[in-house]
Amino acid sequence: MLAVSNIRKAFGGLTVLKGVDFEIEEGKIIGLIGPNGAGKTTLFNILSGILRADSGTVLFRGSEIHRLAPFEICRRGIARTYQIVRPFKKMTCLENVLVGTFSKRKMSKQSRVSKATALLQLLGLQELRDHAAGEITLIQQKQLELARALASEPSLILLDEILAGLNPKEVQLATAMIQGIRKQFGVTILWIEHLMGAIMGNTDRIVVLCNGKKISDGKPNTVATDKTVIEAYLGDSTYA
Amino acid sequence: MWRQVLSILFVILLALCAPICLDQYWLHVAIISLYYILLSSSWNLIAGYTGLVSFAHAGFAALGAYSSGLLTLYLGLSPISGICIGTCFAGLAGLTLGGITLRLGGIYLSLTTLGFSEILRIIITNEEKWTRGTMGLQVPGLFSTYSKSSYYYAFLFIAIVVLILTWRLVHSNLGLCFRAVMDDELAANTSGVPTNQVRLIAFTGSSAIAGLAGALYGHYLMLITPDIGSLGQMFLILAMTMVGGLGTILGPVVGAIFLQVLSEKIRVYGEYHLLVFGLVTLVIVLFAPQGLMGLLKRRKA
Repeated sequence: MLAVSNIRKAFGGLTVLKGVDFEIEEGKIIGLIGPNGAGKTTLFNILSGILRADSGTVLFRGSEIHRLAPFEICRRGIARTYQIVRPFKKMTCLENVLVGTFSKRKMSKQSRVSKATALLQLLGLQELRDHAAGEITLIQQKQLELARALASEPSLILLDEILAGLNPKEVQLATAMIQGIRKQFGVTILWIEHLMGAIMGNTDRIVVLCNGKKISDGKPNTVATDKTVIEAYLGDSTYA
Repeated sequence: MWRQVLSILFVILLALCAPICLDQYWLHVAIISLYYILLSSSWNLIAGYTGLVSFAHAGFAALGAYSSGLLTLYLGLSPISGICIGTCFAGLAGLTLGGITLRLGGIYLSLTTLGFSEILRIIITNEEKWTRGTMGLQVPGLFSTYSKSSYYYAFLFIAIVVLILTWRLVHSNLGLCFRAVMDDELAANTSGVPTNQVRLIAFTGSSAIAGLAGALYGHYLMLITPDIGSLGQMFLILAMTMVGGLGTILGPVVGAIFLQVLSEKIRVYGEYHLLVFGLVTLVIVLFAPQGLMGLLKRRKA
């Protein structure tokens, strides 16, 4: 469904991505992990069109998307959430989700509203419908971003550290919600996360980035025991 | 909801009766207020709803006024068609300027629009052969027989139409996109909103309304000067919108009437009137950052 090949990106003298390749199959949940500064969020920004890669290609459902603007990529079916949440703070929760529906051009106002209301309900935000998005709690803002992303009827969702800053109970709630969403909408999910417990138990495959390179790719168990991964996180054992 | 509709209808009714109650002088003030209502409402559309701070608005008004004036004068067009073409010219200029500068955003947009407006003013001032420069261009009036009340009704009609259209626009899907772009451009873009197009639509529409206001104004005064497009006028529009309440439909209306009437009232103080004017504006912006409409809302809450 998504094929990333040989993506390179440098900011001035700092090369953040040094030729990354991987593929995503439809319907899977793929984890993307790596130490801080590995290039995970940069990769997300390239996939969603915010940044342009210096070289390399991104194929989504057979067509190149790495030269498209963010809104065009969204319309083709890739939606995302942000590590540091970006809801429309001065707009109500309902309006936030309504904006997400605009990537589908032909739709009556009523069906947009009912769709947005249904999504708010699904994510447990129905009571906050008319509250300004800047006034709700962090987990609610994260849920709202998810609702906004789902409103564009994506086939692939990019989740950028959706569990960061949540307490253990909220983490459980959020992971259950993500699993529920995958079942209900059949979306594919690419998921950056630092919380190993959550990512190990909830993904079909994990891709590990380190210093702008893919160092491992496989089932959660294989990745967790991969020597290069352990070294990337803990350092070389000979020095331990 | 019904109470709001009723009170708005009441205000419109009052406005319709104005020519009966006001003398010629205050009727003139009312017409000028309506002109500023048009300008500040259209500026509010881009500044208050899409977050684009443009300084070319008075410039677009001058463009509308001069295109209509020159067309009626040299080509013998009727003022009505002159006004229509002037509006289109301003819209086209907005489209072109916006297409070039809107990507810049923020302070750069403000600076380039400021530059555009000054260049336009200087061109108008210097092309004396055509525009008669600072002497002013005498243009035909909108009506064959001069009557302040007909001008008043013409301005009132257009102002009401523009306000209703603005209201509808702001509450439409496109209006929601405007606010999303203002709130968080990047998030709007990745949510499927073509942010540059949305901004360009707002900028073009708003410039066209400014051109319409300027063209009407020219045919009312029957003498247009480069002063229409001066920065002083621009800051007046800005002050009216801020004082009334940025990002509200009625804010610019309240602000325009308030500041226009105030400046007439304190005109007697001669040179000091600008000082008083500045102080009043400063106090309102300091103590009611949401403007007069914000004060009203706070009292209700």
